[in-house]
Amino acid sequence: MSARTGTRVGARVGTRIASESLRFSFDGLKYFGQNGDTAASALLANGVRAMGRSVKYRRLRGLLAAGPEEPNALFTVGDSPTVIPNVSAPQLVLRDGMVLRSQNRWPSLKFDVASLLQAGEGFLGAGFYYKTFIWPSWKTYEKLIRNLAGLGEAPGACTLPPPRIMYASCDVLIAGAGPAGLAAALAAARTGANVWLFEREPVVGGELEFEASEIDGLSAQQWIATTLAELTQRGAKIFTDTTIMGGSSDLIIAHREAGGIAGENTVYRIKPRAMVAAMGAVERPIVFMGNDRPGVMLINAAEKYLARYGVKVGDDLVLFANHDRVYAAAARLQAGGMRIRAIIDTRPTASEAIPLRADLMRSGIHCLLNTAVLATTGRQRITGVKIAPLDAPHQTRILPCDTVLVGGGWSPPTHQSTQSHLIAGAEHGYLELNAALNDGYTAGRTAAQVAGKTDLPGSAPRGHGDMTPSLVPFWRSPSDPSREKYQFVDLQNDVTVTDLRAALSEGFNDIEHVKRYTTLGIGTEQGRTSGLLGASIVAELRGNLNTQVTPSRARPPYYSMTLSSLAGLRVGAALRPTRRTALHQWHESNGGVLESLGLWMRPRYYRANGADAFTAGIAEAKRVRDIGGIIDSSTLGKIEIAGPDAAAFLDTLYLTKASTIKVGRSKYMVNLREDGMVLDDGIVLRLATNRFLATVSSGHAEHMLSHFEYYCVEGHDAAIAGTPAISRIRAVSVTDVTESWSVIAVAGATSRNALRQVLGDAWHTHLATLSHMDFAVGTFQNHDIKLLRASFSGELAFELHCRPAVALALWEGLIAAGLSPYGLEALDILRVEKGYLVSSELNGQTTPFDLGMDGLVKIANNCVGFELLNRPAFHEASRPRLVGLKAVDGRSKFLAGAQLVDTLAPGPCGHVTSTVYSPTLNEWIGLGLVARNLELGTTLIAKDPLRSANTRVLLVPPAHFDPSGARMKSMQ
Amino acid sequence: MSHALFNDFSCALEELPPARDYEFAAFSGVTGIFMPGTSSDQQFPALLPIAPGRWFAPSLEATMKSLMEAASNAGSGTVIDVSGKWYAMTLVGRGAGRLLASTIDIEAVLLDRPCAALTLFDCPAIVARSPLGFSIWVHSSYATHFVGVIQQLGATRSAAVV
Repeated sequence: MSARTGTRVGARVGTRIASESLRFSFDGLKYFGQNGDTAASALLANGVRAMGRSVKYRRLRGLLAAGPEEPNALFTVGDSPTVIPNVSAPQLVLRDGMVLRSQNRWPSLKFDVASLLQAGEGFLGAGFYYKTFIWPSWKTYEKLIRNLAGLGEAPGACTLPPPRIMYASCDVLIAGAGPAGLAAALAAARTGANVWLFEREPVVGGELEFEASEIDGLSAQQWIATTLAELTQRGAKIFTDTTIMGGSSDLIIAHREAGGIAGENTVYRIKPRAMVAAMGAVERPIVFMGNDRPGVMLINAAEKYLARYGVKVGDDLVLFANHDRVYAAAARLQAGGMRIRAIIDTRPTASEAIPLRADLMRSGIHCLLNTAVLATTGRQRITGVKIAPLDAPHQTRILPCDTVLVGGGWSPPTHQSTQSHLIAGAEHGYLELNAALNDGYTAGRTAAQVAGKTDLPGSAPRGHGDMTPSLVPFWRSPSDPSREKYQFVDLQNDVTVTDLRAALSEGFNDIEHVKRYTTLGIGTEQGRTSGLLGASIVAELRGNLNTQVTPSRARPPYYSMTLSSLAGLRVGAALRPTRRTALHQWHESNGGVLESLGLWMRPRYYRANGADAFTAGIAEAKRVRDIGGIIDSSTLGKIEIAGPDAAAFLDTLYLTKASTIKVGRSKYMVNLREDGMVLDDGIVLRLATNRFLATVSSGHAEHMLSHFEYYCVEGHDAAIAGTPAISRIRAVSVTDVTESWSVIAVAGATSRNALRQVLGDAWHTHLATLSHMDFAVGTFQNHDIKLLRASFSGELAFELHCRPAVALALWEGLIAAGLSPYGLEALDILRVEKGYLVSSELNGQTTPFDLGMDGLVKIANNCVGFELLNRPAFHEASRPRLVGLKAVDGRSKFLAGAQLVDTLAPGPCGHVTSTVYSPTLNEWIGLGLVARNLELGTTLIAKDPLRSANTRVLLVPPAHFDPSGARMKSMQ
Repeated sequence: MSHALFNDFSCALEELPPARDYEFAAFSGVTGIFMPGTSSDQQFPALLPIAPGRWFAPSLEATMKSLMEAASNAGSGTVIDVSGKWYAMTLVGRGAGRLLASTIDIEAVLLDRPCAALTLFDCPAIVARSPLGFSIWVHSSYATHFVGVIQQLGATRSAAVV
């Protein structure tokens, strides 16, 4: 635990740390940190250099960066199974007792078995997997490769609370609270705009945190404080620890994960009227041999660790860059107590930095121009660098050092720049402070104008800080092609210059193809350090200018975010809504086994009637036939159609006429799609001359409502030729009343008596006189009810439509009167026994002729879909028709989905749509769709290869039970 | 910083007893219908415009009903009794707006209208401002789910006032 390198420069030196110490562990060893430390800074302060291994070659890696662009130091936080993997060490604010583990290593970080792969020296280069692991089969290698693949340990459990979600809007959203972002916010707020300012870091200011600078005569920190005060006073909202993760042109998603670890996350979904992206720029490395060794770090990162946490990243530094800013950085690092052995500048001159460079040289620092670092030396840590003049690369020499700080320029975070937003500051290419302030201010003012604010905000703040970089592009140091496999472009994914060269030689010229072939810029890194670098090296290898190859496109989320934040509130019971009838609680409390039908929950059966659905269903169906039963049918869709043109409107939507229904009567009716296929069926009640109630299938309710509304609003004269066009039908309205009415279907021989007991004397006459499809209206406990004589079961039956407020009273009354509840399983049995359509017969591919509705078609009117019923294809002999099915031997089982095969003809001639075991007939029966040229009485084989069953079945009429409907129409 | 401003979810959910509710639907193409709530009424509207040509009348008062019936008799539209369709509740308290912002930008939605028919937490709903927060009507079959989500987010629940 002794700190050999990377110690603190002194107690409480650092803008973000306090003196209170924290304890934490890393790979099982205990360490101390300070309050405010990140995992990265605390480990650096404890002298820990190696913090992970790469994904592919398992090479030992240390910190490269001090922000979310960090490709190497990703930790697993916590103990199994509730771990959180891939947490970026520079983003992870330390908490007392935190348990951290490095990733991609076994058994330890220091010695990893899989790292032996790198001994193959290119053995696993780009494309190796695709070309190699196919003999004899991918399956041979799958387990091994899956064990090696991936980033970190997947959580086995999650105890995270759901994130907070907030939908909001603002006039101007500003991403990034560095100098440009703050200036933009100031400009926009001064116009009166409602400004929301987001900053990824826990504090605002960006580079002002350590850059020597002055703005409007104030120190940087004073200016920041003054600016925040003004913004707050003007009503701006300022969000720290919050990152813009993605979005579209008009919806921005920001994510707050305070301290870099999930726990109290917030997801903001914001619609700004204008947006300014001022997210700075990410310093990028320069590629050279061995540039992945622990100890190679970005210059900017070293400055941040020093300024924020008082941590020295090394004792003996070499700085390698291609711009003037390296000299200012060297001076600050030297002032922080680090020895700078040399500054290696690839440019022939030091441009603006000549005086500062001279000062540094006088202090003993070697400042070499037109020189490059060719390679690092050492094994698990750097011991030196090999340098050479660029015009004489063979004249190499070794400089001893323990750390190489590298700076190859700055890459803008282009992921947000692809959208139609304003860009400002370093992201816009303005790296010098005053230019960034001016650019930000201009962008803020423009954004405010876009948001409709016309006030002028005054003049931009003026400042001066570090000099202009005077950068001369330099992407990689010279290398023998055979050694390019040690020039790492993408550290996270082990993509080397050799891999890029291989991709190009294989014909993958486009950068997006290079990305997919080599894995350049995938994973959490998303090209932040490797994107522009890789594209430029690809350009070099192709012999293009670097402007001819752009970085590959980043995919959102642009920064790592916890999956629970993506899930939002949709977890557990809130995953999706469930719809409940007014009787739901009764079903639950009385042994109802509920199943979901769409969003509805309905009882499939009741436990009291059997241990499983099959047994209980049979018992319940038998009791309905023998005595009677009730089922909660409230989920039926109900649509009220009202207005002087209601009847005419329904005539255009149903195959048969609604206008001929008398008030107080109802009718079974069928809708067609415009192509003539059957859409749905149901009962239409005429409540009054100009008022109808249509019931539609539970599962089709929303669709049928849309269907009705569409024709109500749009008309359909294009669909109907030669009839009064519905577009002229104006006086009609369509209203969903599904939940206004609970429906209890009362069936069986005792149903009339039971209803008489429950509804009382006032209903005696109705119950005695209602004919099949008649209905009556009245009240129960001062609530409206309707009683319809209609049957789902083939028994004497009624539909009791009541207000939900009295549904429970009626239900319990009917049970007290001797009826028992039954569920969907029994309902299916009753329907199939009667040959009624269950649901799979209405599959969108059946016509009225297929379903035996020829009688309806004969009296059909010119409705939607009617014209296409005359298509010749609808009348071919191969079209299906609905038939009943029963096992030839009277006892064998056959199931829905089985193919029906004629032993004398090749291929199937139909299929089984529904089957049940009939307790009334004591055998398996079913419905099926078979070629209409097959006669009733034909024997077919129900082939069911998936369930290994072949059953000989007989074609019979669909109605297996009471075909004349005598029971249903009984007036007794 | 501003996160704290948006972390106040404290509010109370009060479920209201079932009432006689109506909808008035204007016929397609009919214009010039005046209903309270379509103008700049300052009072809480008794008729809520929930879609083009459609108004919701919760707990309808006699005067409102006669107004709708007059419009109906004039051939402008129809009155539909939708009692039981909507489950009524109020959400009141400092954090009521923040809680609803978990599912929609409620401030923007109600910026220039008295109410809105929308989806709250995946449930079809109508929302309107009330003196201390919001009045909400949710399709009654979704009510249990809706109330569960609201409670999960921190609202306290009080029994229906009968």
